[in-house]
Amino acid sequence: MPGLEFEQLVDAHYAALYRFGYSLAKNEMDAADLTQQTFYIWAEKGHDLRDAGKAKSWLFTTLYREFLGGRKHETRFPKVALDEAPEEAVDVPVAAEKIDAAAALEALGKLDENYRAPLTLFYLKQFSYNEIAEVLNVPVGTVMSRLSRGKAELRKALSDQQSEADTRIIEISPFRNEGLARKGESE
Amino acid sequence: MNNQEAKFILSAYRPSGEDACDAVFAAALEQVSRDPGLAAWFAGQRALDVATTNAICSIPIPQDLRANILAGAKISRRRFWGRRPVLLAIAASLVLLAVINGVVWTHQSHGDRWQSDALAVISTFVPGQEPFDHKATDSHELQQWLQAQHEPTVEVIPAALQSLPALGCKTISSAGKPVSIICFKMRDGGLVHLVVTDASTLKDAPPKQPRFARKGDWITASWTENGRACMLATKGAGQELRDLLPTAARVRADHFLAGTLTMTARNIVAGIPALRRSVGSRLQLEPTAPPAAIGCMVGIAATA
Repeated sequence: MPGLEFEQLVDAHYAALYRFGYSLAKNEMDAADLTQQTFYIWAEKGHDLRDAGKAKSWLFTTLYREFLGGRKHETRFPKVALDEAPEEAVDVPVAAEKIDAAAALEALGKLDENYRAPLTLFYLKQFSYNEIAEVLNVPVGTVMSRLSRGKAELRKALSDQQSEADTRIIEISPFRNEGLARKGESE
Repeated sequence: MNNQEAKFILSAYRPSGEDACDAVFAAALEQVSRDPGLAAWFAGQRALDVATTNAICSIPIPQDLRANILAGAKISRRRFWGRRPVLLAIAASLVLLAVINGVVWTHQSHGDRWQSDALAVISTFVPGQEPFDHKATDSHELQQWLQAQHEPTVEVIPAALQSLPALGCKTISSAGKPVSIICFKMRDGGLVHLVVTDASTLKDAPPKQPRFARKGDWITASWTENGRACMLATKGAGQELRDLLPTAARVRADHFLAGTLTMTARNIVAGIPALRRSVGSRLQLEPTAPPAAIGCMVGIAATA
């Protein structure tokens, strides 16, 4: 792949890949490493991809595999099987306008990785359930189940977060009043 | 489809509306249009999806990430492709060494006595106190002196040797036959010695093409030219020795080395079963190289 095309590919996907890596690894350094490693692999192998339209999936799949490759088997395949059957979702109130990047990351970080990966793909790049299944190499039904349950978990995490923020005691600095008093004195 | 099933399916519905035509969602969307409660849930879900999408897409990216990716990819490519010539050069050097080693293995056991005797005498030389029979820095003078003494010498001293300052010459007797030695100082300070004897008196004279060998610390090249058996010996590198050979002998040496390399390549294949299976039939293998050479080749393959 010529240099310019590679640069275009980087521009198109590096931010989303980094954010996907961040949601998986939960720290900036590993996210950056995963992103760079993914493009490094592309530089060596990716140009062999015949269908250029598959580049996006290829990149995300590669990053996910790299992430899994860096983890222990036990962590990757938890012994407790997930119940993939649909269950009654508990709708808890969430103020959408209060969700920012930090809040979203914190909430996502509380989720099991099995939910975090498909949810991040869903939100980040608007991946379809079919594409998510391809990237994560899991059945379509599993993706839908994880999205459903993941969203419920995320909603709960966000709700807890907001409730906690609402009840947090805000400490008022005494210097603020002091400053005002001094200002008043000078007047 | 009940509402719970509809919610399950609609959880995968992208807020951008791209899935509106997907048949998987058709029934669930139909349910939404019929049930106000489900419609409210769906609206809330989509609002949350949009907010979460915006939040996640605003996660800050390290400022230097893009530059690092591009730089890293360039370095990786350069390293990947750039190191190949280096690897090839290393492999070629090792092949050359292996060839020399292989030739040594083949020929050192022949034990040409005149060569061994000459090297034994040269090895006793103390730098600056060499027991030369005649000292001169001009190799022509040494050559003329030897001719005058009716001692064996080459008709023409190789041009590359002529350009080096000589130290002196010495004559010895090996199995009753005269052998002459002329010593030269190389540019790096090392010494190289030209040893000559009458080829007609030898049972096993060197061939016309230079034959490289290692004898202890010495690297030697021996050949026969105009009835004279000649040997160049140094403790330096084989390549230096090759560059000092007479032009004609050097050409023959290169042909010889090229032929040996071809043969050695075949022997590499012969020594590696998997390679032999894959290309052996095309190469018409001649497994004639000594085990040492094949061992070295396998080492090269592993290194590369």
